[in-house]
Amino acid sequence: MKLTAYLRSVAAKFFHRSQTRDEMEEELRSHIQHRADDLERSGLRRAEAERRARIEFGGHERFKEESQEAMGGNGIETFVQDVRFTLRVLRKSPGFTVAAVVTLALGIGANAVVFGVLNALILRPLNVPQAESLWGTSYGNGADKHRLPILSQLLRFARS
Amino acid sequence: MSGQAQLLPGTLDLLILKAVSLGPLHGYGILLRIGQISDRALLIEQGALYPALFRLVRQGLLKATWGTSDNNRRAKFYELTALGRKRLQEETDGWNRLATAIASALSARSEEV
Repeated sequence: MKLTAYLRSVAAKFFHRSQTRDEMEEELRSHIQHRADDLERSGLRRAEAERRARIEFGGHERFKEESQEAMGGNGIETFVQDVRFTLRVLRKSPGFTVAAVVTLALGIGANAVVFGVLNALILRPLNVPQAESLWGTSYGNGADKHRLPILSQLLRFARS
Repeated sequence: MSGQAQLLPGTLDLLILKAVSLGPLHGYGILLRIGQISDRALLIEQGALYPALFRLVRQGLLKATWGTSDNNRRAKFYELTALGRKRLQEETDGWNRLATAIASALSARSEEV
């Protein structure tokens, strides 16, 4: 089935992604260990050497992100990250969020109303010649109802 | 530090290809090799190396395999592919042409103009 095949490919992609990420983590760790080995040989204690190596390596997170991008586009992941970031920022400033939501709501509402009126009046008038001479009819009320066939009633109406 | 040159954009890739062409190396080894062959004139920020490495692997210029380093640690070793060797040659030629042209332009004297 097509859907299951698709889901499987998405899952495989995610799995592969986390695998390459683990591999990258391991590689960066290995780098820091090698650097620490060198520092240790120059006379530092192991703990201090490792600390120094980590500091020297610098913005771990930044390079990780850059590396992931270099390894191959990650559309879904970036999108999820962006959405999370958005929500976090919005939660941090509720005043701004409320103002933005209200502005959007009023704006969309007003637009919908104006468009609705214009659409009915100007953009899509009734599709008949002389639409203004068109009348609506309804027949009978109370006891009168359904006594005459529609056609005769219409004829009578036309004569009057 | 004086005596150290700023890396021009694009030169990091070339230096990596060159360092690896002298024998398979892991990431940290590549940094050491670049420092060594440039007489410590070119130092590269440690973390900046990896995005470049992954990019080169993705372009098919480098090949990576896990192995054991001299320090008896697991490490990922990089080596040139055939495509990488070709690219290194091209980039080296291009760089030499550019460097010669710039050098001759900068050494021009007023009486030669």
